[in-house]
Amino acid sequence: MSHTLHRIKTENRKTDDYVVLIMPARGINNENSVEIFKKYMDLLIQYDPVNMGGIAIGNMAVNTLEEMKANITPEAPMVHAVYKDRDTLIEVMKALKEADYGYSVVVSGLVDDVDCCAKKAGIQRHSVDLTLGIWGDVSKLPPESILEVTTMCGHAMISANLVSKMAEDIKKGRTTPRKAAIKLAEPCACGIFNIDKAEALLTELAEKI
Amino acid sequence: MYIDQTKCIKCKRCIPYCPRNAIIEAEGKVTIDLDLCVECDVCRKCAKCPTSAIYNIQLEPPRAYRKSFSDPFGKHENTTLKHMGRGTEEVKTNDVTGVVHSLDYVSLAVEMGRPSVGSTLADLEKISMTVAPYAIAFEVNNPVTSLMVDKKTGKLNPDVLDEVVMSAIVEFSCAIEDVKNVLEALQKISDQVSTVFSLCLICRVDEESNSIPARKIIDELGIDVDKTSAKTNLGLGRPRYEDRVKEGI
Repeated sequence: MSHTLHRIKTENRKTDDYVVLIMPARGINNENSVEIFKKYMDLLIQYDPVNMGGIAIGNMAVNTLEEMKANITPEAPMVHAVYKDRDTLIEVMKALKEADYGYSVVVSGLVDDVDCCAKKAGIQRHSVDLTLGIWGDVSKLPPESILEVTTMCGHAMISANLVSKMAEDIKKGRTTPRKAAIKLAEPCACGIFNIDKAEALLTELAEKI
Repeated sequence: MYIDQTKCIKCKRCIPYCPRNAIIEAEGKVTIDLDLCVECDVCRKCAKCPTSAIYNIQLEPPRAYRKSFSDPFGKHENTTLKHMGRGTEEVKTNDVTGVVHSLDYVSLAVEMGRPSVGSTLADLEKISMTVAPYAIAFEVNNPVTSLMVDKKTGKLNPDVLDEVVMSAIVEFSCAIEDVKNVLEALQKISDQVSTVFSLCLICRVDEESNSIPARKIIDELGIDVDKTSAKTNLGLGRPRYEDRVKEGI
């Protein structure tokens, strides 16, 4: 379940994508999780996430907040919200600290950048999961410009071919970058696909065709 | 996954949805290559087939492992937790569970097939057997560990080796002084696998100095941690692991 990890960050796009993950520890503090998750979602939505959701809960590409809250069951392991800038992330961190609802909070982003944001929010980080890159036969990878889109779904449910098709459809005027980004977000069951970032990346990809 | 040829109208809208390029058009038919297919179910759920021609059957092991590792909704029936997903709570709830609570130890996760490529479990076994000499233990709640017939050597059940998954994670703990050896061993085996893998290292932050003990080793090996996103546990979970230990919970 390292699904929010390993999101490709190209040089000019290192601070436009942060995933906030909320999770109780199973068997320790996950009692009454349905109501507590709803409280977290009500808090997170106030800061205009670009996507939100969780496995078997839904995502903002296909569900409203009320639908997602109604889908939460005691088996739901976690919820997420995605933000597109540092200032918003810092405000979300401050709000989560102040609310003190008791679940673990994990932020996905570059490690030193997230630490800076945490400091500004008055938070001392506890532990980190550092990414050490992609190893093995990297000749099998799609181009980095495509990977930057596909890796925003950590379960790899967004295919490189679908990204290329969306870029072609934009180029030919069959769809808009926004509509294409929302279509790509649909297979991401966890709601961690950054729709705004995808829109910008698809626009660039279409221009290069 | 299968396509019902009596329903398929060959509109081909499902083809680009497959993350494994397993949907192919040949001899006037659109079909799914079962060797490539990892049973992730994206085609059926997301391509919006106009005639509902895409379907699946009840899967039995070893093929069922394709689904449990590749479909975010797939359940690992062979694990104690019977949970969804490929891994564990790891850093996500570390402030409460204390899975990695000492500055002297780390947890490493090698995610085979990620991103976007997929992996055979045979390639995964090459990695698990490479890191086994340095592992204090493979993570018991990780579904890959449940497939091991020898948790000392990292050897998998031979019946599963030919199966292909979108990704699966070799997860283990090791002493911080062994991190360099593990990374060097992975560098050596890296060109002997026919896929990619994404690597991560979980460790406790020294809260007095706000430093990451393993960072120096990683920097010395020239590994850039700023190409992809990391995860940071903010320590807001309650009760904290240290408090649970004090109170004997």
